[in-house]
Amino acid sequence: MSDVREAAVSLRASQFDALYHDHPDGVFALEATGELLRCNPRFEEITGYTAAELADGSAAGLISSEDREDFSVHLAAALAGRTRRFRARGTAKDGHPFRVEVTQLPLRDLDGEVIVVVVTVREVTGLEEAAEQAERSAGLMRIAGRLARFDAWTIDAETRVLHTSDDFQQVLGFSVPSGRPYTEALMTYSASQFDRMVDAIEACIATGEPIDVSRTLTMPDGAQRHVRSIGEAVRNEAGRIVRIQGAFYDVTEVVEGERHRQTLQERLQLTLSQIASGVFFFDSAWRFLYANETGSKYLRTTVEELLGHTLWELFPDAVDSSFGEAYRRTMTERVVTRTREFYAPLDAWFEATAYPTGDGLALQLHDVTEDQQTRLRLQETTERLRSQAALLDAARDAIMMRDLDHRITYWNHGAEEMFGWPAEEIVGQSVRDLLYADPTIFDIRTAEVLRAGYWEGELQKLTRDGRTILLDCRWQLVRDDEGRPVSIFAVDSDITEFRAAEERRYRVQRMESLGTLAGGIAHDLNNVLTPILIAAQLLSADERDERRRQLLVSVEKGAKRGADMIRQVLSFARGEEGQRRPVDAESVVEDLLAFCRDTVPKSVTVVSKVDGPLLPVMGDRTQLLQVLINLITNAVDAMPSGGNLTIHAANRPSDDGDRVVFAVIDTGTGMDEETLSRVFEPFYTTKDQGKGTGLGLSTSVSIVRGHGGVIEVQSRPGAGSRFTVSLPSSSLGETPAAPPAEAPEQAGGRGELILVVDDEDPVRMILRQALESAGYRALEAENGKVAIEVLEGQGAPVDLVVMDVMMPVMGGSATLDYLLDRHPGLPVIVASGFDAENREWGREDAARFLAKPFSIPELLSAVRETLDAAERVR
Amino acid sequence: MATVLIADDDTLVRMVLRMAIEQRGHRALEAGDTRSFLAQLAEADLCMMDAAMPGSPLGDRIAAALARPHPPSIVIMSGTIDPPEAVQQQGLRFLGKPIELSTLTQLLDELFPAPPKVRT
Repeated sequence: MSDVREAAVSLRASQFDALYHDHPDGVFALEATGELLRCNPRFEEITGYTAAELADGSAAGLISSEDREDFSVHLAAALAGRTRRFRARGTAKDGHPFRVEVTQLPLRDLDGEVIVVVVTVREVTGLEEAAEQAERSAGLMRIAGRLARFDAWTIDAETRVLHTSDDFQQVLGFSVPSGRPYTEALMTYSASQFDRMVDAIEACIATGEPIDVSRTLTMPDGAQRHVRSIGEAVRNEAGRIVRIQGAFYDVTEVVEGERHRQTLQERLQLTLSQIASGVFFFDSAWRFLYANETGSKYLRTTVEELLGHTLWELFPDAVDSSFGEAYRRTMTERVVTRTREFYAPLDAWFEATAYPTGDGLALQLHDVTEDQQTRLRLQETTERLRSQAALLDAARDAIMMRDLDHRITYWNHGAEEMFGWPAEEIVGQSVRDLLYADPTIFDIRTAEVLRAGYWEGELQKLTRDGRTILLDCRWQLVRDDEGRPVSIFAVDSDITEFRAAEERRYRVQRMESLGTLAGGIAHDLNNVLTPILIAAQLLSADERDERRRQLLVSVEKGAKRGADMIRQVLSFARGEEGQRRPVDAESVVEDLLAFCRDTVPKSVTVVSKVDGPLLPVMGDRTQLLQVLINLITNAVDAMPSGGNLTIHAANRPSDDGDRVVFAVIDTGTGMDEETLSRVFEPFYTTKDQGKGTGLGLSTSVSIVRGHGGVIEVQSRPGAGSRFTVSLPSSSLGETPAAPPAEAPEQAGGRGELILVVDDEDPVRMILRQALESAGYRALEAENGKVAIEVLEGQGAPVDLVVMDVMMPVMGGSATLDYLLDRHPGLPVIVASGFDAENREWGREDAARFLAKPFSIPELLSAVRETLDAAERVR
Repeated sequence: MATVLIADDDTLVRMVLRMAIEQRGHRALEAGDTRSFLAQLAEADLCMMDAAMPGSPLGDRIAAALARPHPPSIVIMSGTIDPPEAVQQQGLRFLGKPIELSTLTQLLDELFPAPPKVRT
């Protein structure tokens, strides 16, 4: 090979690449010698051979042996300068056959010499195979002919002229030009459809390949029609194709119907295969027509194994089972049957529902093994519980069992009592909905039981009548033999009352410790106040500057007020032990009114209302007065700009003994909810700082409670307050102290002169008034020293001395010594808060002892008796 | 002139009592603890004792005072609302705190009826 030629070949090769590398068809070039110059990648792809293999002859099998001779003829013609197009069959390197249309294009140089043949190879596999279906297409054509609606046509093979049948517009709804080249009739087609149609027609004319093209037409009225065009070649006797003939026919309904059917089928298939139940269809001969996946799984047989076979041949054990019986009933009686049974061959519980369909039946199958086992186990446990019903019903606790859906399966007598639901009404119902105002907490606790197996704690539940009760709950998860949770067993104890009592106990304890604390502090505070008080008093005695003296007086007053408050705290801390004696309720009211006269400002009108005669009450007179005076003080404080204060007392009969009710009613500022709820708390006060200790009412509560009574309050802001103290009347067995009105008869005085010695002004005053109103004359002394002065200086002889033991200046002991020494015949009544047995100081024969606190009648009778005794001694 | 022994652990209380006592022309001694109380007991015509002094029970202090050949008068002082039991049982005088100057003065005048001239 010369260099020049080699260069020329190289040039042609690069030109080939530039032109054909990306060509969609396989292309190769042959030198005039017949040698392969080049091939493009598409050709390699079609044949499976590389360029090198094609060149060195290893691709000998490429052209099929029958075509090889033809191929050589064609090639020779091409080399001779003629363009050739033909079809050929080949075999690719991997052995698969292909058909191609080959176009040979000779290229010449300036001298007209052929230097290269470019061969284009186009795959026609599809077209060729279609040709083989010609016979089938002819069949289609015949079917089309039978259709009622079709438009027929013919195309002449020579002239390509189209002729249509007379009633051509049947299908298309418009006519096409008849007697003209068929391409004109295709002008309404889109470019791609036009090409497709022309290809099909030309192929049919050229090779006899039948036409079968479907397309969608949009009709003038906008409707979509599916139109199928079929055609076939018509040959003359020599076998040459002379024309093709065919028809359009409307397949819209068929296509749509098919599409619809397909959609339905798919949807049904999908639905049936996805549902959790097994679904089967049987024909009248019990053959499986359909089985979904779940169903095949249940029966442990593939769908393929089921279809076409009969139920009885595949599952002979079912024949005599309840299932078989039920199915046969459905089949013969055409009724729906439902069966729930254990099917031993498959070791499972099934629930089967059979429906009659057509002449066969449809079967819905459910594997309920799990469910059934749970149900049985639950039943078993519940039964076990019931067998112990007598025992469980004896319990006061609510004992119940619920399944995992919270439905009650067992409910004992205690639960009936506690919640108000009879067992027959609540069994089967969900506790979650019935017993819980807020199921969230129930859910949390239930989850806890399921997680840990046990839960214990307090829960609030609702009773049938809507009460909220507090329960101490113990919940136990019940499992079956295999450890699966089945139910929850619950024992609930009602601790509503217990908790309330506990609260009360805590409150009392709190108050007690507060009292102790307060007492301790108060004691120290008195030490603190001592120097302040004395210093102020010492200084003010010497002070001549009036302004400074006033300041010292205010210091003194402040210290005294402090001391007063401390006294209250201390009396609160001291506790509420007092005496229990019959107390004349009416005289209590009288004492209250006397107190009011002395202390209540004029702007407040005091009204008393006694629905007498009042029963005597059982208790400690001093303490009761303390309570009621405290209420009066509060009432007055609540009416800073005046108002009405009503003291009301009445008997109130009740089942657990008669009571006496005292009410203190004011028209003052009243209290809001918040204040009302705290008004009895220790150290809670609405009064200005320094005015109240916040202990008055809480002490009162303790006292009244100690008396077996109740203190209550009603109030609204701006509408005043009403405090009521209700106390038990003294029982019949005990004689109430004689009312004062009767006293003069038994214990009245005859003008005897009595000296009353007591350091407390109000006590002294009250005693004197009592004695005077009982017919005595009375003198007062605030301590022993004054008493002796009075006694010694008195013109008229004193007949009797009533003396308190505890006096700061010359106390009872010293005074008594003096009296016994100087006035041995003078009767003395010594009053003391301490028991007579404890005293060592007294000389019992010389004085009469009167335990404090005493009532006025007690005093009067003591006075009378002592005077009478002294009379007898004389 | 009498000698009053003030036995109280509160310095301020002792101070004002001393001033009040001295103002009435008497002599005042102070004891802030039991040791000092016992040391000065012999001189006292009157013992004013706080009921709760750290270091010794009230009963012991009363007994110590009463055990003197010439027992002093005794007044118990306390911040509590009720007098201690010992006061009740032994018929002792009791001064509830806070103490009023007038009460104290009356007490001193009662116990020592011929007071020296009041200082001015």
